[in-house]
Amino acid sequence: MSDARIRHEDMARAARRAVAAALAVALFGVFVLWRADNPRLERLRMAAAEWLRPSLEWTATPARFVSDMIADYQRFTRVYAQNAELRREIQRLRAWREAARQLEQENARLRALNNVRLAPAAGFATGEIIADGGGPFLQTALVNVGARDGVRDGAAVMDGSGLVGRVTGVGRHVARVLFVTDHSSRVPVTLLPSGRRAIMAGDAGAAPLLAHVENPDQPVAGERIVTSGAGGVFPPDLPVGLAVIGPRGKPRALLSADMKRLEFVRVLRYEPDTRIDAPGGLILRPAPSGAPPAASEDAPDGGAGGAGPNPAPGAGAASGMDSGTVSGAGR
Amino acid sequence: MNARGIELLHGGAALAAALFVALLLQLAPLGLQPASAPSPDLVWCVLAWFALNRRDALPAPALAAAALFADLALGGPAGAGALCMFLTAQALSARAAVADAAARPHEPWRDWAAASAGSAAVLLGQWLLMLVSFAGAPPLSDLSLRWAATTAAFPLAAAALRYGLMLRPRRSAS
Repeated sequence: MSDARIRHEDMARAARRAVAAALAVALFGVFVLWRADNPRLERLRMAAAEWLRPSLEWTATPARFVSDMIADYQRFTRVYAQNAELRREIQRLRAWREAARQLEQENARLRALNNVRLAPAAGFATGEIIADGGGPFLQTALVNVGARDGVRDGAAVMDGSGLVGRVTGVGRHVARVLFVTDHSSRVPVTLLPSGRRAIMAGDAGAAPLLAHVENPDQPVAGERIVTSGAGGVFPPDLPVGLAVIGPRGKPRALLSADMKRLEFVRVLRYEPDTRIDAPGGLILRPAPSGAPPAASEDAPDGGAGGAGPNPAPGAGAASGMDSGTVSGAGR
Repeated sequence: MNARGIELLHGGAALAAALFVALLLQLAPLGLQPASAPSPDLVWCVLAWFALNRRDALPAPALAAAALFADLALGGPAGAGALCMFLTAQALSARAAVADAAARPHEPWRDWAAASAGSAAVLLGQWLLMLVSFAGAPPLSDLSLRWAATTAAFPLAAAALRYGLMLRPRRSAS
């Protein structure tokens, strides 16, 4: 009896170990999939975020209240110094306002002279940050706008002043934003007025590193940083910040975005110029159910019945918004 | 249902509720600034307490599922945190079983030290995984702040579980 019980316990222990080993291997497999940027894993992640979203929205308000209360108290303790600082700032801004008005008028006159046609402005969806990963390994946050609002993977995310990050996962109602300060973030930028290109690389600090600066012998401190638009992920000329020299003599980007009080962000609906570089881009869209079936297909120019050429695959149909119009109008 | 079944059910429900609340607290948008004070790993605090005190309510599949869900929801490197948490919690569980077998008296400071050491192991394990997979590992100083915050939060989490959810440590669980 005792032997049988001991044998039974041994078997149970062995089974537990086997299950634990199998689970450990499965979790390692998940990590390998994550490293390989498996899209299914990202979908799973967004499904988890979607599941948590109602509770997150419910808890974000009191969390924000507590956070604001602490920040307000901190500001209150240095209200006099802040007041004097703000007065000086107002004086400086008045001078800048005058300069800006003159430049705006001059710009308008020059545009009128040259008959400049401006590119259509990119649209955006404004969302509230409802969750913050808070871990040391990835700096991400969840925003309560998603595919339903026209948000797409890779879209640039800004606050009122500058670039904050980009969308790395999209659910129906939520999107995950990877901040520019994260280790894995790389943004191609241009330094102005010199026009030199660089890569802004996050390193978990408040001021990301400026790497691969063109002509590094020239000073960079004080130059404005904007997105260069290289790679087609971000639109060009989005404000990013100011170039400064870090404590170890390396150039860094002092972000314009207020990362301390990030509450609402704008997710840009940017559609880069669509180029038809494959025969698939010329295939006509199937006729709607009410339209004559063969009329548009038989037409030699593809324009019969008022149907224009179809945008390149994946350019417009996925967004479900104005991307078709943008890609058509942009040419 | 007998008393043991009711206790198990209570333990399982308390684990699910505690993990859910820990996740929500951890996800609350308080520390967006990179250089701001790090938030403690509350999910680890809950899992460590259960591994040390109520391992009957924390079977291996539930532990793995909870750790993976936390990884996915928190937006960290999926699988790395879950794997390190799973292995470390299993080690804590085995350590608690040895302590039970030796009929050692239950002392909360031992739990605290074990959870703190476990937190360091979880963070270092993830850091190593990130390093060897060229995924860009954060500086160790950031991890030490996270570890300190988690160590400081463990007694609070333990008190919340013990007195808030009325969970009795069950050291003799098999």
